[in-house]
Amino acid sequence: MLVGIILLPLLTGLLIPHFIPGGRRRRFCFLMASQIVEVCVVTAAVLSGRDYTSDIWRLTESLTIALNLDGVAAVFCLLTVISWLLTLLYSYEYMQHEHGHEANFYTFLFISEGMLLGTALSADFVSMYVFYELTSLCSMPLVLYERTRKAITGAVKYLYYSIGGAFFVLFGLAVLYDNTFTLDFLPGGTLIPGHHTQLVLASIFCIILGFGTKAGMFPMHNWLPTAHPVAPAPASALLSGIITKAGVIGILRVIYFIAGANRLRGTWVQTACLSLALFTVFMGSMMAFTEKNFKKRLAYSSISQISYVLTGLFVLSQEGLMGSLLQITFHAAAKIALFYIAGILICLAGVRSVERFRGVGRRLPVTFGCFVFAALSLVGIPPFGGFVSKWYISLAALDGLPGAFAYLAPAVLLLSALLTAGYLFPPIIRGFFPGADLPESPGDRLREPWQLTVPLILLAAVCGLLGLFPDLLTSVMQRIAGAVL
Amino acid sequence: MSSWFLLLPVFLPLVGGLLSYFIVFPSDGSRRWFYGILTVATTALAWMAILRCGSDTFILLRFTDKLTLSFRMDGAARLFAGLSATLWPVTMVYAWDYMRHEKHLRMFWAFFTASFGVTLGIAFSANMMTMYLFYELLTLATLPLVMQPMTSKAIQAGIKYVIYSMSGAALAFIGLVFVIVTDAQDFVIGGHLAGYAGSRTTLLSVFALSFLGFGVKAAIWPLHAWLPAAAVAPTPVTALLHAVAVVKAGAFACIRLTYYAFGPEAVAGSWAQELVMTLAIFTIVYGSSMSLKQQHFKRRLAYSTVSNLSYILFAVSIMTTEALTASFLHLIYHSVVKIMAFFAAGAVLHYGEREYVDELEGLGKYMPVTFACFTVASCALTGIPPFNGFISKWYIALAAVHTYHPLPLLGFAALLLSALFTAIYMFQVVVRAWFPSKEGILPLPGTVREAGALMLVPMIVLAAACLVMGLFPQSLLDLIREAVSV
Repeated sequence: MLVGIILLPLLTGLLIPHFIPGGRRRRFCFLMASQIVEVCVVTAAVLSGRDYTSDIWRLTESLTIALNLDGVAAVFCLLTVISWLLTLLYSYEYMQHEHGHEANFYTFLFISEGMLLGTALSADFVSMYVFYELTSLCSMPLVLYERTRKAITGAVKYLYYSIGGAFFVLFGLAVLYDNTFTLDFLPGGTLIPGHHTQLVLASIFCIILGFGTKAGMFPMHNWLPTAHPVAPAPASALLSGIITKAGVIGILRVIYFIAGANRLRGTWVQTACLSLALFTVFMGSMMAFTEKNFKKRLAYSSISQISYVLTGLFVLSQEGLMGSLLQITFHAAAKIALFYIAGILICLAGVRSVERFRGVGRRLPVTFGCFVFAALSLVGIPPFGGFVSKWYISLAALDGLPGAFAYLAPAVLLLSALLTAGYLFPPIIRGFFPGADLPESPGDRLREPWQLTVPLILLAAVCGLLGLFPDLLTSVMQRIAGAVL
Repeated sequence: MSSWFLLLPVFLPLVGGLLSYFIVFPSDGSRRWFYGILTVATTALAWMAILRCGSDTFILLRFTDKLTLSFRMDGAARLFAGLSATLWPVTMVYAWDYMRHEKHLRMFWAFFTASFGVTLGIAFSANMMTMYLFYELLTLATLPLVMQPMTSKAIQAGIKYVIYSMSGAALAFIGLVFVIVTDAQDFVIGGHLAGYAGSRTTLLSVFALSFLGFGVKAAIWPLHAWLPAAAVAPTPVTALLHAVAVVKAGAFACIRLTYYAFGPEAVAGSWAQELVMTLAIFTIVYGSSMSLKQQHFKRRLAYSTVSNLSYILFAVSIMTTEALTASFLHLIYHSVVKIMAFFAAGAVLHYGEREYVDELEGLGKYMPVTFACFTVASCALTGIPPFNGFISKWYIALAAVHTYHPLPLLGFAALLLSALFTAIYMFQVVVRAWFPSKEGILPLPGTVREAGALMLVPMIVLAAACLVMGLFPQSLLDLIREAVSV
């Protein structure tokens, strides 16, 4: 079952875009059908509530590949397949506006999905490492799709940073191999007590830094604002909304399933990681605030928002973990929506810089309507989704953190929320209310194709509805977090 | 099968190769047949010896009581001989195509075959004396191959190679005399000198010097410079000799010296161990950062070899059985990967007529198989799972971590840094070839074509081997473990 979940997108990507005869539309229908099947299979597996496990491969006695579907994996898998489904629909229209080898784009899109699902489903550290590396490698070609010098530089930078990060992880992995009972993910951790404590802590720190590369955590965040904006919009949406979270899964697994929250609480690793995450939250928002290019602004925003997730994780409490899982979901919804919007603006209105947003809202009302929802959620204004997650993370920080951090963390989160409002609302306001002094008329209303708007509206609805009825999600997340801690 | 049989795979190509220099072949085809049969016969004999020979010693010549020329089969010999005997015919097929238009073919084929025998001689040596002899012979047998183009650059590279190798051998000679005097020259796993009664300083100094001496062929810093210079040689030579046979003979000699003559117990924990380990660690980072700077495709790969050889030497210098296993694993894996990378570079040179990295823009479209193989080599060399490089790196890492000493841990970190550099210098080529920039200059259609079948088949075989060895490493690992167990 789990192997099938990974294999289906892999085979889809390798075969359908190249070997199905007929036109673009026909191939696209096949891709869509395959993705719908994938969504159904994953949903069925998750809803059945059975504890699926499968050992796929035994390389050697210390290197095995095994999969397991637990609560955390279920959240990631569902998020992934649904985002891919929506993005696929969006790409159908969007990719017509791009010049390049479209079949390859779908190939790498689907392969990345398979690898990402593998990362989420991994039952042990080694498997996760393997899938994590492959995710980086296979998602790299998505970035350089446009084949401009800039795009290639961005892609290569992404690859090098990811591989470098992965080697940080490998260092820790080898140390932990010797100092744990097993590298299988078990809630509560598997460290052997009293074994080379400082070295083990240092290696866990290395691992967090390594996975943090993908999650855009300072000091290894630099690739993200280069790589995400140069990719075509569907790819940037997935890269920013979902693929960065491969790093988050990594950190989550290591903290809660290998090291154990109790072992890390109060150590220098917690302090260091919290400081890095909080600094990243602030820095990302600040950079986004000063950035004029809309997609780049969104990329900086991702840096900041994903470090909210990390902050929640580093609190090392059940509420913190729950807040993180919620933030993962809401950030994915809002950020994917925002990148869709950026894409629509580029391909329909030809607008890239926020300075040129004046009056565009009137030409693209549906898009900008959704923009409002996504922005409200990302800033965290009740009753939108983002509020719920930020509430839980702040609460957990107030409750669970020692000393000054208990106040510092919520303060930084609030400040960053303020900055988020500062970098998202002015473009919207400018879009709807160009002001009387606009030198030329903004132009007529543009036709917004349904393939572009439907995924966008769905995501905006998710941001709104789940904020209105947070219990739907919080109860589930609470159960998952409860099972871990 | 008794051990006199070991003489056959050593002396058949050695004598046959050298004598064949005097044969005048009527045509290319007949030359191909002759060397093909000779090489395949040697491979077959070598494999028969590997599979069937017992572990008794065959003494060919007895100069004095202590000085003998003798051959013996053991685990390490099986591994090294098996590796050489497998890769030699593969390279021969590649060379058929590659060398077609080169000059001085008589010399090339004669010495190419002779060095096969010499390499097997190094593998089958039963004691230090014999190995030293073949080690020197290898320098002489491969010198004409380095100088094969006979340009002034090639001759200079050859001279450099000889000077470095001979000085290395001179250092190793100190070790040879020492082990003969102390009765430690027969190769036995675990060595002889654990309870050495004499001066420890002497023992350690001799060890360090002779390790460096043998390390010359394994291109340890600061004695590495001959290897990148030798990249002028024709590709089959650089691929086989400077990525596999010669350099791996150096690494193999270091293994023999450390684990089979001196013994890890005699040296572990001393300044000598720290010295060689530090040099290896430095070379790891030095080699790959130099590789980053190279724009010449083959020289880039040559520096990469410098770095990767020191992965092996680093593992050797950890001096545990675990580390020995890891070093053999990397020795084998790196050979397969690097020979394939060189084959790809050679194909680009030969069919694409490009030798600099920045000329490779967009070549993937015209040479898809070549660059697919090169991509596999890049993944494997960087150590991206499930390609084989990951497995050997993993075991070196485990061996390093298991010591819980700061220096091996530092070495592991250096290895990862070097792996990142590897990713950069390899994937730069891969990305450029497959994803040319819109603004770049693309090759004109018709100027570049895919390499011929005789070149592609070896590459495809090796690429498949990389993947198979990465996916099914257990049997090879067990084999190595068995080979290095007491």
